[in-house]
Amino acid sequence: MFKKILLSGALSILGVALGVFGGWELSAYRFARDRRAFETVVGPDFVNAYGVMARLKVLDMGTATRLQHPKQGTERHREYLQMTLDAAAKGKKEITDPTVLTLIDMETGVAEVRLAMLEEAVGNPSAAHAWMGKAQAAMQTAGWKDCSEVHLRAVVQNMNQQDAL
Amino acid sequence: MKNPQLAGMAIAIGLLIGVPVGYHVNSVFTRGERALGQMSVDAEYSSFAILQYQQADAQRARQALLGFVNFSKQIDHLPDGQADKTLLTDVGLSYVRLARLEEQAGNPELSQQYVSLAQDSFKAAGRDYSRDDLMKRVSGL
Repeated sequence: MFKKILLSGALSILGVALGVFGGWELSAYRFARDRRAFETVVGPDFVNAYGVMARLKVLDMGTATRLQHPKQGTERHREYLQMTLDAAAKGKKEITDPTVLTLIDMETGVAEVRLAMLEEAVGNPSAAHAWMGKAQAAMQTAGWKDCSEVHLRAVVQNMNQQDAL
Repeated sequence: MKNPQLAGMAIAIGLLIGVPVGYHVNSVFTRGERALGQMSVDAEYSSFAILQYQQADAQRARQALLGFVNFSKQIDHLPDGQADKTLLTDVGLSYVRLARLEEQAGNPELSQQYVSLAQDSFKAAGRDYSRDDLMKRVSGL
């Protein structure tokens, strides 16, 4: 009798495990179908732009937070900012919408200003100067009226405070 | 097990419990992931439009604000996606900024149209602003 109960319990647990897996897959199938329908309606450009913007926002918040709480050190900050630049460069290849391309230019410029400020803080004036030059070019492409070093620093410092978690 | 009926019942009970649990857990995760993604994208595009309005030339500012407004319309097509009150308010503010740009560019009729659209958007978000209120915002934003 005891053996029977034990075996029934084990089979029930097996059933639950199979059920959870099946239910999970069923739900995943439903969401995948919804997503395909959404992609058909809005088109691949919007889907690509959506993905790129989501990635950039997450990286932007992460960078701003790390820069506000500098426990991880310069090397980690540099790596994180480089990740933003890589994501922006990759995004530029996937996007055709001119407005989203401008958004990527702006994000690139912001990351480059942050790198310039970082290099300056650790005593690398030549690297800081090079990054600032790139940032100014990116912001000019984005149509900014004032691309002076002082102004870009002020805007990005403000963003660092606002975007930090 | 000598009794196959009992074994079948045990598995069936397990499946009856497991399938809805698995379905629900996946739905919660996926909806959460989508909501987070949508919030990130809304925030990214909205901040970009504001920065362009503050920093860029009028043409680029207009392009960014209109891009954000069009984007918010596409959000309605997202599965489970809908323009929430925050997004509707951001869209309303974008229309107010567009109205100001057009006012400065000497296009009063277009400016008025944007004020009306802003009014609609704020209304959908549950805020009823009069045309005068918005016009004050247009000159003060």
